[in-house]
Amino acid sequence: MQERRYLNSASEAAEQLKQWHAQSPDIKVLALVAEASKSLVAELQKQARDIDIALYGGIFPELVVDGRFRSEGVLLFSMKHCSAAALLPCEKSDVDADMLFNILSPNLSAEGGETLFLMLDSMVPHIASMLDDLYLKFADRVNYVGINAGSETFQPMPCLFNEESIMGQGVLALLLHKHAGSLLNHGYVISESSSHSATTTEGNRIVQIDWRPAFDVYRELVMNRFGQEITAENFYQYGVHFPFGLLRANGEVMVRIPVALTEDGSLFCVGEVPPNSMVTVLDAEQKLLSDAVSELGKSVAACGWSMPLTFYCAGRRMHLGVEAAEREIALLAEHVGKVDGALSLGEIGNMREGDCPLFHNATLICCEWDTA
Amino acid sequence: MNREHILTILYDITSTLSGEVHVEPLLTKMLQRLMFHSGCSAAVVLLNVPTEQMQIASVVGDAELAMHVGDSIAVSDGCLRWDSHYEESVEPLSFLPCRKECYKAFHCLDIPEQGKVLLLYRYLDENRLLLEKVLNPVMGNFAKQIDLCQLNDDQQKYLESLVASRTRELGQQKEMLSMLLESMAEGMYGIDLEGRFTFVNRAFLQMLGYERDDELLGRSSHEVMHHSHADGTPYDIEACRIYRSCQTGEGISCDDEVFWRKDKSSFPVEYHSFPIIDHGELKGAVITFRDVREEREQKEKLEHMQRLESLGLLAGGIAHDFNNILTAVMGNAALASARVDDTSPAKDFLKRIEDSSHRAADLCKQMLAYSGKGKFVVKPINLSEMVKQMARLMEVSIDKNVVIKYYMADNLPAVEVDTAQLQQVILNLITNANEAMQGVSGVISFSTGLMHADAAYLQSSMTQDTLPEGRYVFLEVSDTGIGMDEATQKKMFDPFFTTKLSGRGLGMSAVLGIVRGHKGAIHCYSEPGKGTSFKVLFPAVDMQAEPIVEQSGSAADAWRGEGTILIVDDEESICETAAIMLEDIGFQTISACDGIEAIELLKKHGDTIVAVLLDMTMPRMDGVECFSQMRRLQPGIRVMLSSGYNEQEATSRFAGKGLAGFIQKPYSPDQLAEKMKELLARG
Repeated sequence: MQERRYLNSASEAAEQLKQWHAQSPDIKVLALVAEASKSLVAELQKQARDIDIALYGGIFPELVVDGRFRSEGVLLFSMKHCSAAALLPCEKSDVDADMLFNILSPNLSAEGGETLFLMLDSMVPHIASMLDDLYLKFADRVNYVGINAGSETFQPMPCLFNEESIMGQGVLALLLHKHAGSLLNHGYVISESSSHSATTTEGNRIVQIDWRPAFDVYRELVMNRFGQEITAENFYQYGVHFPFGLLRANGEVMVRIPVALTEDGSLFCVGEVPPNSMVTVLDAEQKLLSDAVSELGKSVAACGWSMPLTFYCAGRRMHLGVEAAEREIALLAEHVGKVDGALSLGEIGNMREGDCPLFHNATLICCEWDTA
Repeated sequence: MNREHILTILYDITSTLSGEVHVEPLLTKMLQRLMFHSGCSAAVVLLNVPTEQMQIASVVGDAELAMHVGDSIAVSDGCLRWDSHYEESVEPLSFLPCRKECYKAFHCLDIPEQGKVLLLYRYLDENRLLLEKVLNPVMGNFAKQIDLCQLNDDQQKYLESLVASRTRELGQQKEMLSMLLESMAEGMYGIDLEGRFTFVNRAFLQMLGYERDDELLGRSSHEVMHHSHADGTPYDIEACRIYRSCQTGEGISCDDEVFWRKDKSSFPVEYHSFPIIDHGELKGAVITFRDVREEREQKEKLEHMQRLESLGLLAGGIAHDFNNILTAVMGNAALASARVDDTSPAKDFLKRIEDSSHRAADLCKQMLAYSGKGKFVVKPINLSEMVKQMARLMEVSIDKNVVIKYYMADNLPAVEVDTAQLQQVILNLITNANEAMQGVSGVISFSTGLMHADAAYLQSSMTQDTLPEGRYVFLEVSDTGIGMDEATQKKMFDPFFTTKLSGRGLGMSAVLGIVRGHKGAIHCYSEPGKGTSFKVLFPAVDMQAEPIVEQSGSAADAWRGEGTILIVDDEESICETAAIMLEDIGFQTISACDGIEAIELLKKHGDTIVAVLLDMTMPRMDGVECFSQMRRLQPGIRVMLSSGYNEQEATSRFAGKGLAGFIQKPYSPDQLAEKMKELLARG
């Protein structure tokens, strides 16, 4: 079992790093920093450099510590099986995937059983494409886990770091040796309303649905299905409650939360929407969502993972509210034990072990951490 | 999943297909969309190939299988037969090199006439969509799209190979052009329509004094190198012929302008400007040029030499005719003087005639020297010895307040010269040097030495044609006199050019004629106010120098001859004068006015004729033919040739034919007596 510590001050964090380093000089550390405590990053980096310890981490809207949301502090996780790491700026999906593969693949073991742990700045616009390109390169040689870091306000900020530097618009990739991967679930379901084609999209921007301005169609869908009038004025209040879903023929759905509206009626989502994707507005009933959490907890427990590193989507919390979100986490904890992690801004993973990884919103993702 | 959902999925996949134009990304995208909708973990496209096997064309999601992309595999018959097929076992896929233990089911989708798509599932799904049925229409489109992409890829490959081949060819042509451009001796540069440099070649950089082309590219060529006329006055770009031709697209040639170097010096050029026209559009011009300074100097020098040579021919002809006349004048004056009493008032006049005749003869001698037709009897001598022997003569030729210094080299190789002519050269040079002192004190120095003269040095000298490189013995005469300006230096060898009030302007012309006659060269260096230095070069020879003997005085004294002398000359006055001179010393004479008459007289009086005084140039039968016939009539006849030209030239046509003697016109009674004495003494 790897160690973890929630700390509130730089001095405590520095002392913890020193202690772990004294116990195991080769140890590496993953740091999840609450946005409100981002000033701790520089202190952590300095201490890591001083004692020559490898440090990797990200800044998230809030932390999840023992099942509760915390807006301050840092969660430190020791890692003994991180065989390689890379912190790179993102440019273009295939180029980024190539670079990551070139850096990490020499450390892939022949026997497999490794996990590619990705931490991305939520402002990177081509995360899903990069994931497709990574899957073309790594294929089934690794498990895939990923979360997006950054600010819940979606304001750009440097949010990924190692002991030397901190950057935005980038990716932090860790190759975890002998690691079981992750599982995620969300519970959002396809509404009874008809499906539509996102006829014009550009990355994470839906320009047209069924050849009409995306917002016009979105308003109609929400009104028809839920009776809620969405206007340009209340969009930011209601959008998170009526997310888009990308439908798959196998019945699964991927959530895309609309987060911004432009004057031409385009909608910006968290995550890319491929052109001509089948889209609809999803039902997000609290019970269904909770059932999904429970199901996830059971699956994780079935895998034998305890106290997984857990990320809870910030959009999901916005939809449910803090109390309901903490109840979901408590529900998860019933199955997996102590829940530590952070609020994330998009998640990468799969619902079943070995499935093709996809970029999701509004999920809980549990990452095995016993062997990290 | 309702019908609308299915249609949307089909639209999604079809749109994906239509957006791709190359096979590889088409297959990958298709697999990605199929995986997205089916929920499978891995997928592969197998395409038909011309053999019986299939090729693994694209793989997503299975690393082991991905290592076999491009490989051919023998697909099972069952697989080949499946149009569309789902099976919850992967045993039928034994031919597939994948991680079969991971998969529990597979989907085979037929790509009509192209191959198969296999979707590999890790999980069994009770609610799975029957893709094998839903996707049938899409797979037909997929097959057609593969065909189109294949065609496109083939076409692209062909075009790429064509482009590569053309690029290679262009590269070779460019390299060749670049090599030609750089190897050209002529300068070349290109300009755009604004007259800015677009390229320059290596010769350009060398001629204009630049090191790299980036010092010039993009700059205005007119401002860099064509901004002023030869006299330094500004050359407006609007008037610039190159700029104008670039604007009008007309080719031009020009040879009366200068280009300016980086160091602000200029040189005359001949240039040609050609317009650059690209697809009918004027783009600029290419200009080739060459530095014509050296060529012009050589041309001027050649023209000068040719002019001097023409003048030499003229001078030689005049001198020859004058010598004939002077023979009569000088001879008759001498004869008359001998016949009058010393107290006769005519004696003094006759003396003046004789003196004037001698001065005229001297003038003719200079003219002959200039023409290269003076007396020419060469022998190997030591130049230092020659100068030393003339020291006394030279010292009396200069003013008292001028000092002569000698720097004579020892052990000089010999030079083959006519000593009399060399003396004339030395005397002419010292006379000029002395006059350059203009009565003030100074130094005239003589130095001799041996040097290696290369082609460049010889070309910069005054000489005839092209002299071979090699060892030359030189005599340098330097003075500290007034020197010469450039204009004077250019004309100093011209006959009749003089800076003196009383000069005849033949001194330096004669020097040049003599030096050229000896296959030598003259180098002059002069600065106004500082002095002048003449360096005269003669080719060194590998011969032993002969001792230099001073000319003996008159030896005829009271010698008298006997017998008949046949005088042959078309100049009646010469015949008469020579007859009197010879009769005065005891001979009888008979005269003939040309060769034919001479032969007749020889036939008639042959037994009494002891010698013949024969002119060279005569009407009807010249001296050469006449001599031949005389020798046939009387093989032992003694013939003395008499000519206004020098001995070498005059006697060259009689070589080996038994000519007994030569006397150059004009001659005095004593000189004729001396020559006759020598002739008859030989028996």
